[in-house]
Amino acid sequence: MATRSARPEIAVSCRGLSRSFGATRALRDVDLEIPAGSVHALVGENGAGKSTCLGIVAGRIGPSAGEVRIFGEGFSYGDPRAAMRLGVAAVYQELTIIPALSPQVNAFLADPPTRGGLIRKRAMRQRYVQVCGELGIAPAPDVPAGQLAVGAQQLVEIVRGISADARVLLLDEPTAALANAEREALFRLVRSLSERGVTIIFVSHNLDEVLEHADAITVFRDGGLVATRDRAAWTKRDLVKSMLGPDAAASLLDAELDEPDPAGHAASAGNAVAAPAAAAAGDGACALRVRGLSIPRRLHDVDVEIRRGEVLGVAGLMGSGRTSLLRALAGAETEARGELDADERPVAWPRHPRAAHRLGIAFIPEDRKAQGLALEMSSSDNVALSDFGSASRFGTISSRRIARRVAPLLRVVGVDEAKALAPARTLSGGNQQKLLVARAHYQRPRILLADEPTRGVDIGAKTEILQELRRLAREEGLAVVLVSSELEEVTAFSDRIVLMVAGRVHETFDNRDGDVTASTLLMAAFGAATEVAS
Amino acid sequence: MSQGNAQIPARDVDEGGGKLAAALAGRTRPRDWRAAAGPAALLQRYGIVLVLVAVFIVALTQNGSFFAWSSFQTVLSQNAAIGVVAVGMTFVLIAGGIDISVGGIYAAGSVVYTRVALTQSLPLALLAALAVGAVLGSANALLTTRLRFNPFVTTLGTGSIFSGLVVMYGGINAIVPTNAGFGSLGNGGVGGIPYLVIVLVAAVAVGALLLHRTSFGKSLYAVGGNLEASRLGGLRTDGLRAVTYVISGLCAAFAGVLVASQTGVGQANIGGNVALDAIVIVVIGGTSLFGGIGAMWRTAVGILILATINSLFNVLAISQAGQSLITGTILVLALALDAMTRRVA
Repeated sequence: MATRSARPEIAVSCRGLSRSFGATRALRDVDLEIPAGSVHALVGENGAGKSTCLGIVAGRIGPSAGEVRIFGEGFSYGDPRAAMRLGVAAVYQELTIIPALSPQVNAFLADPPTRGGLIRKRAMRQRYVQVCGELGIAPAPDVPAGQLAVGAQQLVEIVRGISADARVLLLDEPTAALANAEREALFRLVRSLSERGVTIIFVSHNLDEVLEHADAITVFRDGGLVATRDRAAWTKRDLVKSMLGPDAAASLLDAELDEPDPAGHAASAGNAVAAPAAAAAGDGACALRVRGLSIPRRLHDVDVEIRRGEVLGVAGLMGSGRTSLLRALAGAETEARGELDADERPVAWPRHPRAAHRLGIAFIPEDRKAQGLALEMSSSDNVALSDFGSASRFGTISSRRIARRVAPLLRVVGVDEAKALAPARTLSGGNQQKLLVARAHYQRPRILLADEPTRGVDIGAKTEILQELRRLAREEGLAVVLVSSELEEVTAFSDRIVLMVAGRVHETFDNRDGDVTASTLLMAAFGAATEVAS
Repeated sequence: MSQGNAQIPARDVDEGGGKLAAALAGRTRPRDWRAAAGPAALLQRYGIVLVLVAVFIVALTQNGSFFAWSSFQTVLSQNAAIGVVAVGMTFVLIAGGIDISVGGIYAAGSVVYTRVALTQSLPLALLAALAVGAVLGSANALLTTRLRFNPFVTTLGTGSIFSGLVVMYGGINAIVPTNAGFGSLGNGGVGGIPYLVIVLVAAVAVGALLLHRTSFGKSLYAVGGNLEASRLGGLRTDGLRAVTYVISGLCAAFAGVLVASQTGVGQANIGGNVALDAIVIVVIGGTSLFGGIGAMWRTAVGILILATINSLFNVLAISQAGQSLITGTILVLALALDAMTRRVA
């Protein structure tokens, strides 16, 4: 920021920006001004709204309310090309590389250099090699991009953003997939771009990185903007505290949790229910023992014990391997390798969901629409989906018969029985999620794996689902594994907590006294993420 | 923060909202949703029956004796073979696949039946034809499920292969068996009802039973509605989809047998429009090309609509070109309706 004038021009300004996805308010009333030529970091927990904010500025997502201006100009929202014309380039968390095309074509995908409508291949190559030179990376312009390592693909995306001559460059977790050398090269480039007047906004989970490279840092929490300050005004501890919020911090740190409060249901899933009582849980036998579980590039040598009668929470940042662990146990990861004992007897690792079923494992996948429900089928059919056979009599079956059979389960999970014959599509997100819990009942499992069972669900349903999971462990002796990106849920409902970092089990917490807090987990996760990075 | 498609919000329409609103906002033709019986929902669900009635009325104005039992059963007999193919196709479509190769299998059924009948008894010839249908269907099943080839292109290709094999096996000329009673299945009847009509009704009835009253049929809706959810839920997704191609192969070969008996000859070049007609029947009825939605009674309605239109073609002496144009237009309109209702949902 050598040449920042007294009143810097505002590159990006957001006013009253809000965005809802169904019942979920992903972003609410955010005001943000980012001066031209600065490096601005957005941080927050998963789901705090930072990626949504970035997506709106990039024109990938339309806002529900509010406005965005790029150097004072508005654009038609939800249109990435309109944002591009104003000089906004975005590099997303997931790769948007087209695998069959070469890196240089990928880099110039939206706007290749042309003459008379024909692509000028030589000019494109020159420009590509030049940008790679500036970045200090090997260009490899001719291999199909799909054959490059993930880190190299990410660099191609960054090259794409840079070669578009962007005035505003948005980077969503740009370093997550990068090795140290590439990471440093990237931040050198970020600095040189910023000196040339390019505004850079990036999202990162690596707080050290943020504190080192950003001029200013904005913290998001629950869709709202908590604070924007210059880098010098932040410490790592402040950042974590702001990300968690005073409510969470207060309620979790104080002893409030130990007093069950029925009226508190409306407050938050985290403090709506008393912390696990030490008496009932944790002394169960080992239902599943996992040793040396690995999935290439995702999980490394994971050891976990899953015990009957307790809820095992799995915490970790996005990409830490939480979901991979569950999917491997559910037989959904064909590349999983490891040893498994079921009830202290060695068994073959399940390579197919059916094999997991035979071991008594039921799985609630994280994406209920894509992986959980056949939305056009009725609610009760969806509950019985994994085994229609057991609802048939003399080989025949009918929707009504299934509905009668699953009605008690619908009652247990709290779905109105009148909806038994309605298509699952017509149910609210919370009720859809409850159908998956009911299906898990229907399968009569001994082990229940729940991946993000409360995602996109309103607060009441959230509590009901989590309480039901815990009841299954307590009263029916199931071994329940709960993955959630909401740390408060994990701490409030788990007897033990496994913290995953970068595909490994980083630490296991005993939470039978309910004394593990979200901030403990978050500090441990960020601390570890920083160690891995450096 | 979830990204991409996962962020597209769901319209949650059940909480406290009117059921009519839910029906309007939702897809047409919901299955098993008798709760939402608003007039709009009913119209959307059973609108296709009105179309059938309209077609009947037009047929009646052109031919006063259309509903005379004799002429009606003639119309049904003429469309029995294609109707049987459509019954098999219904299973494939509901499970989320498609079978373009039915024309080739249909021709194979006709040629194998007649050629075996030249030297063997008719029951044996029938078994041979059905066996060939099952084998060809299994080939489709293997390619599309185990090897994960795209079903549309795969069955387009295998249909061409099957047609070629049929010509190599049976030659290009008509095969004329001389067995006693060869034509009775296609032309005879019992108690004044043609065998073909009985066979067609039986095929629809058995198909409906299998699709709606067995766990196999239920599972097909799950697989077609959401393959990944079914897989994670522990269904044998590959096996279920494979069986639908075998059913389709059996039905198509059996239809070839019917048409051979009806015409008295086996011919290798009869498969041309079979796939299109069968798909038109199933899709007109309201079964979705994208899987998971549909019913056997819809296929029955589709058969009646197509049969009536075909008889109109004859009454009005519409040229082959005109027939082709009209049939194609109907298919596109049915697809447009399907796409529109999906967009609303």
